[in-house]
Amino acid sequence: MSLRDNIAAHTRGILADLESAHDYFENSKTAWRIVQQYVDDGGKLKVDNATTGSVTTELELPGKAQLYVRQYLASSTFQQFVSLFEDFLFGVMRLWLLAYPQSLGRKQISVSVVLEASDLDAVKLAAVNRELNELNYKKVREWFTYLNGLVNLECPTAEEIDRLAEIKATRDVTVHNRGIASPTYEEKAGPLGRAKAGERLEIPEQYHRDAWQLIRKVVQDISTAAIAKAGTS
Amino acid sequence: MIDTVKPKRLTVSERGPAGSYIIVPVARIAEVREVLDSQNVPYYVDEITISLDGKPPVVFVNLNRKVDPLEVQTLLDARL
Repeated sequence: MSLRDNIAAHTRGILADLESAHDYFENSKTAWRIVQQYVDDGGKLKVDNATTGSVTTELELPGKAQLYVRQYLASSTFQQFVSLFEDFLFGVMRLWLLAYPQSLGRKQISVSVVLEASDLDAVKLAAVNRELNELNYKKVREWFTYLNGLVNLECPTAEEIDRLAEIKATRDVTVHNRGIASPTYEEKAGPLGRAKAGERLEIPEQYHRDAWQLIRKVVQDISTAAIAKAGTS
Repeated sequence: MIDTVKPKRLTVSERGPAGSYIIVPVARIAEVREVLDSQNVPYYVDEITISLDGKPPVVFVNLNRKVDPLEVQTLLDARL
């Protein structure tokens, strides 16, 4: 498959997963809303959790459902959106580097990698993976600097990169700091920071939706630009 | 004589730490918004509407965690 075809296939997979993730969010929310309506209409229920020993009835479940919808569900799907974005971006860079490995010409790899490789492609893949693993630990803004060093795509915009940096910083706080903003969050999020260190970082529905829409747009923009440039660089 | 059906009272759920909510028939969402907006009550409305068993669709209005549900209930009772 050509580089263009590979990027297009990679993009289709990511966009499909993004839509599935958002459908999962809305459909799961719908299920909880139906439960809340059922109780609001006078319905009774009792749930025994044999593992924890907890018992939930119609008295507690509507409130718990609200917590699940507004916090747990929003948080888990938001993390999924960001993971898909990373998968997309690093996937494109991997495909590009494998097609045009010259930019890694001055990089060093250990002899053991060469000795263990079955062929030259395996050496290339090891070099590319190492390069991208190192990049993955850097800041979002550096990811795009790197990408545009490989091929100037003229996207995303500076404003979009700032928003993506804040989104990634929110994801990191959610995963590593139980949703409480830290000084690291403030530094990564920059001027678009939504909380001070020590404050709870919420994922309101509007923010959740905006993040999904931005990620989808940037995926489409990068893909379109990269496909247009593939074969011309 | 003309019979009129009084609309069902809208109640604010007070359960749980995640903020209260109101289940609102879609046909009444505009008036609920108007009441909440008039008092600067922070809220957001779900994107989804749900119709069960062919009944008229409803939508969930989610109040900010810091909003006092009793105050909003009083407001709705007085204005709707």
